[in-house]
Order: sequence, then C-alpha cells, then structure tokens
Amino acid sequence: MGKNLKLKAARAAMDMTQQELADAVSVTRQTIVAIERGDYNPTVRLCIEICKVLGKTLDELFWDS
Amino acid sequence: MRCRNNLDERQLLQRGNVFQHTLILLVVLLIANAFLKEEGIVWAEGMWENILIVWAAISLCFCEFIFLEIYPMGKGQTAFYAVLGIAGMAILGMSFFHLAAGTESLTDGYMLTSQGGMVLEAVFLIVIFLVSVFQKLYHRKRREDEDEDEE
Repeated sequence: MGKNLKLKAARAAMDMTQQELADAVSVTRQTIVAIERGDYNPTVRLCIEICKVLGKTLDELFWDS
Repeated sequence: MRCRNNLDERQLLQRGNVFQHTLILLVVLLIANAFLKEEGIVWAEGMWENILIVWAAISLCFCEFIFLEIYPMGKGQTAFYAVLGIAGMAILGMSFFHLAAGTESLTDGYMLTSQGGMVLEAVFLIVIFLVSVFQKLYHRKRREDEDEDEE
C-alpha cells in the first residue's frame, strides 16, 4: 500500500494539521500518520468521516486509479 | 469513532494483535515447561515456574502496548508503569539486601530459588518501566521527525 498523498494534500489545502484532523474524526494522530503513510488501511466508516471533514468524496481521497 | 476505553480502530486492531502475541508466548512457555517437567527438570522453586511464565507473557504484553502507544487505562497508564518500576526496584533492593546478608541465594544448583524468582519478577517490572521511559524519548524524537516531514 503506497502513501496516501491525496489525503495529505487535501488536509494541507484545508490548512489542517494531522492533530486537528485526528481530533475532528476522533482518532489518534498516529492513526492519521499511518493512513497518510499507507501503513494502515482505514475502515469505510473512518474514510467517510475523513471525507466529510475535508469536504471530499471517497473516490477523491481513497480511490487509486 | 473511539471505543469506551478511548482507543481508536487502529489501536483496537493492534491491541488484538498484542493479546494474540501474549497468548502465543504463554502457550509456548507452558508447553516448554510441561516438557521440562516431564524430563524431571525443575528450573524454579515451587510455584515460581508458573508465576514467572505468566509475568513473562504480561511483560511482553505491556512492552508492546507501550511501544505501540496503546493506553487501555488512559492517561493513568504512565503512572501505572512508574508504580511498576518503583515496585520492581523495591523488590530488587530487598532481594539484594537478603543476598548481601547471605541468608538467601539466587539459585540452588540449576534451580531458581524463591528469592531468585523474586529477582526475576523485579527485573520484568523494571524492564516494563524502562521500555516506557525509552518509548517517551523515542516517540518524542519520531514526532519531531514527523512534524518536519509535515512541513
């Protein structure tokens, strides 16, 4: 699993830190770090939460084309 | 998204893995001990064999929890590890006092005495504490690296 650069870019575009995103979706900062690095495959539920906070769709953030 | 004990989904997954490792170690050690007993080899006095096997498994469990930053007890977990460390040092201190006085010995032939068992238990407790201290330093360094990476 490669790095999730789309998530990182979307977060940066919203001017959010990893900690702020983690707090917004009620997970630890390490979990956001792991998702961005591609070390952890989040559940659909968490993906949806992240998408809602960042104002993106699941396809935009989590679909590898 | 977090459960009752404040762990998120990734931490819950890791906690399951830690329990799995602990169970495997416990089973392996118990089987090894059973084989040793079958061969007539007693490596620790009385019930210390079983106590030390359980402590070895518990220590692995705690060390993995610490390293993966999983705190099932919440913020009180750090204080708990400190208490374990202090208890370990107290037990070790008392044991050295007895050993220095010459009233007890660590081993009796190839077998650990109850005093030896206590020393080993104290070592497990101190190892848990030391791993928690090391983790604090290591993760602080790693967090700084991640922050630099984020920028």
